[in-house]
Amino acid sequence: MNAQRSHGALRQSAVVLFVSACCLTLSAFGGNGEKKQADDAPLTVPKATCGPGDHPETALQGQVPADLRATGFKGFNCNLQLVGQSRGDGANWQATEFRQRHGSRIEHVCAYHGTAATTANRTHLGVPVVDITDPATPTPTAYLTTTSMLDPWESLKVNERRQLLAADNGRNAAGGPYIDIYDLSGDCRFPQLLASAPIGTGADGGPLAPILGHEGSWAPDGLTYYGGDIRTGGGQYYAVDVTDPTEPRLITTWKPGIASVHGMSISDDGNRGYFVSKTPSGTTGPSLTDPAALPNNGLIIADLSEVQSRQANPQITIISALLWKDGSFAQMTIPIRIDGKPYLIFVDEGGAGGLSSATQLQNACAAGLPPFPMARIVDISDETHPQVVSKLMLEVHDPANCAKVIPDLVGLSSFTYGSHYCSVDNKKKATTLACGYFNSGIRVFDIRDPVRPKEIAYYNPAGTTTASPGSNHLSFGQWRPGGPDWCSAQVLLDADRGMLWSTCQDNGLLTLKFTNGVWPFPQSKTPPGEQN
Amino acid sequence: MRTLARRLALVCAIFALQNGLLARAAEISVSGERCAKTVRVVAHAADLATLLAALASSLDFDVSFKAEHHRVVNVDTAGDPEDVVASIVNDENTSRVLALDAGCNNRMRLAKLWILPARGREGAASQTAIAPPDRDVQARASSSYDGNYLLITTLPKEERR
Repeated sequence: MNAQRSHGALRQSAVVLFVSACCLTLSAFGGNGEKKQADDAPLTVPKATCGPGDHPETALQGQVPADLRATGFKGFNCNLQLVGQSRGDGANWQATEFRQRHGSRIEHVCAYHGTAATTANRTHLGVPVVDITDPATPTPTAYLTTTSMLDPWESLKVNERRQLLAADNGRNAAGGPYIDIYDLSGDCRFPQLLASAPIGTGADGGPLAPILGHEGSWAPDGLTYYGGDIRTGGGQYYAVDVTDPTEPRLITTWKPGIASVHGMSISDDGNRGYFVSKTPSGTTGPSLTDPAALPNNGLIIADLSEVQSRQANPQITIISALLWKDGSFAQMTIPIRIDGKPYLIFVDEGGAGGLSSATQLQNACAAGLPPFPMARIVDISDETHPQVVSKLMLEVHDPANCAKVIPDLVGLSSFTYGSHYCSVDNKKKATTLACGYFNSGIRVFDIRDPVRPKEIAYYNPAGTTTASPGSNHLSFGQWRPGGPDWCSAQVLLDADRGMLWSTCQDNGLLTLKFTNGVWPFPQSKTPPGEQN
Repeated sequence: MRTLARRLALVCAIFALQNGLLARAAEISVSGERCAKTVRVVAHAADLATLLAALASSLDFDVSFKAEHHRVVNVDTAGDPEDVVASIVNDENTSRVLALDAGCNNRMRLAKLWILPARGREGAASQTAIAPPDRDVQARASSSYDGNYLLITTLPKEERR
């Protein structure tokens, strides 16, 4: 074994702030990270055209104005109608699904979503398993209560190839080193526990390293599960060998060295990681007005080939990073192809100023930057020069509308109109993007032209008048009776049925049907496991 | 000879007494069945795994015992089956799957119970540790900032080594 490698490289990274100090060349040419926007491309996404019977938004796109909140928000819908609901104890950050096949026939569609770690007034703890085979009658069939499932935070993910459900121990950002894995292959309505075990203990057969769960995602082959730990040492990513799903084993940890960490996605061959560089917790990021203050929030493309091939002491190296100031608290990514060309869906969780405290909102507006986060589409056809081609900016995000939006926010103070998690219809041939935009609800976009995305539908559920005890909207002290919900989870599209489902934190699981013929597009398909 | 016989009799008596006590210890009684709304459990010095197996058999759920210990349980209780089971395994690291049972008026009932190894393997030591990153590689990146985007690109993999 090469001694230098063994001592030198496990948390391999290009620590680029350090690099930046050494090598930065401030270039004056226009836009090294953003392709020149087409002349006819609007700043905000064109609004959906609603049909008869819809309840369209009455103010700015994405906005729930204070007067509607004061009287109890009755909800907005445009080209989406509610079909079924399973509110249960509410939901928190994540939703995922598994479609059980019997030959070519889909026998069961199983939905899984997180709930908060809170125990007061709960009917059931843990991850509800909901049979949504009949979307009109979503029916809980089981509750998963192992350590990580009591609050999987942003790590609850299904691997289609191996028919496994996994989560790490997020637990309200105060979890531990556990990873839990369930087998879905027998009957997805009754997942079978394979492992609930700590990693990084040395006893798992891997290296010794402290791990605290938070984010997580599978490599598509289902042999590696990656985690994002925002707490340990300012943030670290880690890779877990799950070749034997009953004995998960830590492979390595990795600090990108730019800022902190959060979500990630992995290429089909497992050799590329699309990680985020997240604004460090407890900070608001670099100055928005000082041009010498460099951005540290954005995308990191990393070479994972040594992890994928299980080399000893694997090195993870940064291929490129693209960082910006018009978003913060980077959340997650999805590698996709549109007409054969590779892109990345990138989603921030914080606006330019941060996670949307009053001061942060004001700072963003004062700098002429979006106060709320949004999704964006990044061209990664040259992985050494990723370029943003469009932003899924709603009117409510437009800094030009700050004067109409910020004073109206009275009573709302966290996340508000920001993005959180998105999905596409088909990663290999994407046509449609669907996202949870917190208080702006579930938003669906046509991305067939990635430079000019268009909104086609939205559903923002009515405010609940009673609290949901398993919701982080409640535990964060942000729930208001009759106020808009936090829609923060993945949105799972189903082209065959012209439907989607997701969770909003107060309303729980919602199944929705597209109306007025807006979706699916003729080329839209939703193969299992290809949504995010 | 008589002394030896006395000693043998004494050993046999002790053996019989012990067996009797053990038989008494193994006493487990479970009154209840699959759809029952209440169950009564009486056990004296019973092995936890054995008791759970008896409960699983009566109430029709699966149990998987992966704990490394064999705790002895004394219990005399009655009530809702899920509550009774929960009270018996209260000190264990458990996982449960509750399932809707159409055969029991769509009641949510315990379908599977795992008794897992105790938490706390976190403290185990290891010879393997994560090494710090290789700074040589980091020093060979380039970056540019146009006021909106900071782009950082490292050298191709073959040039990094």
